[in-house]
Amino acid sequence: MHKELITGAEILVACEKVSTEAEVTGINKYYKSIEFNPVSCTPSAGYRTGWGLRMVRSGKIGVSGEWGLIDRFRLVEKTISSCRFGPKALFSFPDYSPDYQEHINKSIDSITHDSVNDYLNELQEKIKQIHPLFSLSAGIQWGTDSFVVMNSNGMNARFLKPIISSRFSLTLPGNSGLLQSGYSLSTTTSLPVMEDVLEMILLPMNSVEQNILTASGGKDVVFSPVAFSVLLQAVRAGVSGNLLIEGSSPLAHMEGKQVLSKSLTIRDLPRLSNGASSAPFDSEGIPTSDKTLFENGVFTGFLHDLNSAAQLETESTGSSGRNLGEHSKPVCTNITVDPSIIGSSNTLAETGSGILVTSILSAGGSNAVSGSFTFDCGRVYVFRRGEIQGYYDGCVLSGNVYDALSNISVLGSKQFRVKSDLLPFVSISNISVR
Amino acid sequence: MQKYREIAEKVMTGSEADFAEIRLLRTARTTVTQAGLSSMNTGPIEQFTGTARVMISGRWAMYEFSTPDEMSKAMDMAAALAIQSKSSPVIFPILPPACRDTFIDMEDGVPLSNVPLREKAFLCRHYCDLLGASISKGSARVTYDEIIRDKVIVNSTGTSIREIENLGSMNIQAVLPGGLISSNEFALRGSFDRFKDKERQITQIGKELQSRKTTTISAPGKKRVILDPILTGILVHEAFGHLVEADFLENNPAIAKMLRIGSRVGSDCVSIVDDSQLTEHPGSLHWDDEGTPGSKTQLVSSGKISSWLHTMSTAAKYKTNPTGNARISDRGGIPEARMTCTYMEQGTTPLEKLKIHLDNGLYMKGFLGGATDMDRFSIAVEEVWTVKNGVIHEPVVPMVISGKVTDILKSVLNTGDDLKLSGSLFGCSRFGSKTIPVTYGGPHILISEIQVN
Repeated sequence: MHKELITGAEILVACEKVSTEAEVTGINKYYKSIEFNPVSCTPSAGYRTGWGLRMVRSGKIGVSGEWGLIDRFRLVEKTISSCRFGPKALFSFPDYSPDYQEHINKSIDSITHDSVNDYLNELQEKIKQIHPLFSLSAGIQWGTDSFVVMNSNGMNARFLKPIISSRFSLTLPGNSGLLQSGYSLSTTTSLPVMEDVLEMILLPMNSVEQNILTASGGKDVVFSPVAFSVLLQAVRAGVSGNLLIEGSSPLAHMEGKQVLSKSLTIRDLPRLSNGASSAPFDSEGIPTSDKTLFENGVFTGFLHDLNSAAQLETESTGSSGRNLGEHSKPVCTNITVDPSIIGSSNTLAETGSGILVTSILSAGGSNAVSGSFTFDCGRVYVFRRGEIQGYYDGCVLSGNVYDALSNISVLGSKQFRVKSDLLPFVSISNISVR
Repeated sequence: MQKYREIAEKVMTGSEADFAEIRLLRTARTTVTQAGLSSMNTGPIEQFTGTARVMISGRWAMYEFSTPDEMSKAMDMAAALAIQSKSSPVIFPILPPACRDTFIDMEDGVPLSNVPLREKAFLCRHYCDLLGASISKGSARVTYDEIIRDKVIVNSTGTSIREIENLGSMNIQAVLPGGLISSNEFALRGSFDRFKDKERQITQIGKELQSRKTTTISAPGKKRVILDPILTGILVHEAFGHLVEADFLENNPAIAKMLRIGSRVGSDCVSIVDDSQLTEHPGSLHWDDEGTPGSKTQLVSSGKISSWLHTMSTAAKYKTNPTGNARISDRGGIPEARMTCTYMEQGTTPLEKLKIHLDNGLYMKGFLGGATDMDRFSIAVEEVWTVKNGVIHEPVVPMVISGKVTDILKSVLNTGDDLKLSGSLFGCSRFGSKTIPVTYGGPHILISEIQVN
């Protein structure tokens, strides 16, 4: 028996006389990492271990968690205290273990501090060839996480996942101010494809120096995959069964109806190969499955965990997610947007003229529930006939995400990884630009 | 933690590294949310983490551990990583004098950690009820967050310090139908008592939100404005403060040249400090995460750069002293040069006089969100009021201010006499780093011209 399962079982024993049902989740994380910047390169390694406890007591659910020093009796006491203020328990924990065959990809074992150092030096060399004043900072962390879910009804499940989290930041002083770009992504088997990193990180660093004043109004806007992922946050929130229960989901009663542009197929893929958020079962131990959220723009259904499913008298979709010691909620995992099979890889050329948004600095004032958004984009690029002509600072986009995603004019033909998602460039008509 | 501190001291005596450090951190985070009639709480989620950091022949390396019995092994692992490292050597850090001391938050009132969860939950519900009653329609939400941090830093110079921080915040949020939002945060360090007796302020928040209902739109363009102390603080922290964090400048020599000591970044009335010794505020610290004592650092004096914010390493690079601004944002992370309590110093002009100079401009109050893109910033303002002949006239729909920070600081015409500090437990983030508690503020300031959208 794995050491983690023994610890989990001991915590469950401590709950026996004080709870109706109990569930334990555990995370063990072994990692190596490198922090890289123009001045230094620092290697690190380490491990983290944490346990979360959820229990039902007097018909209410309580939660608690600990990282590092684990005291199972303290954990139980805190969870009892949490039950007093917790929500009602409307469901039972599963009484079966997920059927899961572990296939560990061992390729992560070949990644070493030296190989990551070489990778980052090569990336820096390529960037310096483009502009000698570019300054690259990066952090790459790789390792294997193990997840455990056990409950007092007999569930006992564990899986291992390799994960490589990378972030890159580039700065450049220019005549019109300082330029900065950032790009984060997570993979599971290999270091990020260098060409993709270069394309994403260099995109906002366009060296055009012409400031083009642009009149406010409706415009064609091309979102880079990084910016597109921010736009999709409202959709991530909107498909949650919890929002439906609260009565605030804009997708209520829209199942089977055309909600978004016919060119958009959005999926939640917890079984995606090389997906950083992939998992064979969710944080309640329910088996996951790939789901299409919008098929050619038609909304297909909500995501549920055990609680939201019980409240709506339906089944969990295996979408429970939570941080250690927190209450469960339905969440998306790896979001993918199908790329165009007929479009070209040059979304700007296909769009013709408009504004290119490479990052969204702030979504302050946006409402993920209703889908209304106000995005401060900082510097955006003005393009005509597919070519960037100049920049525009202080750009603010506003509108409603669902309206915007109904007005897709061009979808890119290539997906890029953004955090754990796979997204193409997208061109949207008539976005309000100030 | 005291016994783990003693173990760390013993382990340290065996280190043969040029410099070695053990950092232990125990945190407990509790969250209570009251949204209408629904309540939810999380935690306390406790976390213990330790990090061994060494420098050998100019090369840094670190090893993170989860249990104190791994301390000795962690030191060996970090040393092995440093010896194997192929990175170029860096300059040896400036080490502050050895210090052995302990500081525990103790005020006249009751520390946050001693207050039972039910009392925190009750206060959230009480305030949420009051806020809900003060708005005719819409939703009210009160969220209480608490982080108790117990940190120990032991290093090979003989330093052994321990600091216990009680950090708490209460976020009061009301949303009217149509999306008009009021969001107010009280953040503190120390006693729970300071969250009490806020009834009058809570009711006022609701009333003011009701009075802001408007559909009047002010035309975008360059405007003369007054910013309230919260917006001044946000401008100082987000748009300026991050630029003088020396590790950022170390990686960007061209920008460091632009922001060299003595260069002008603001008008004569602009003076900015970072003061980590304001112990009642969440950004404060007695010692930073390298064990350097906290201090007051004058960043801008009469519009000119006076100093940057330093860690031990950046201080060595720039041949100065560490300023006590090394902060860790994530377990096992590298100390970064980060702000603590950063504010613009106040002037002598009362707000009423500033309004007269504003003439027919805009009065801006509160912060909804915002971000910086290096020296450019944009800030979504919560409340905007037109001012006619120096008198507040009518509310207009919330707007966004943006620009280049040095242009804005140079166009500050006058500063008020009403310094006010705000803060947040999760108020400061940098790309790739997690949030840290900070305090920010300033007086009302009059700006001759700023882009308003």
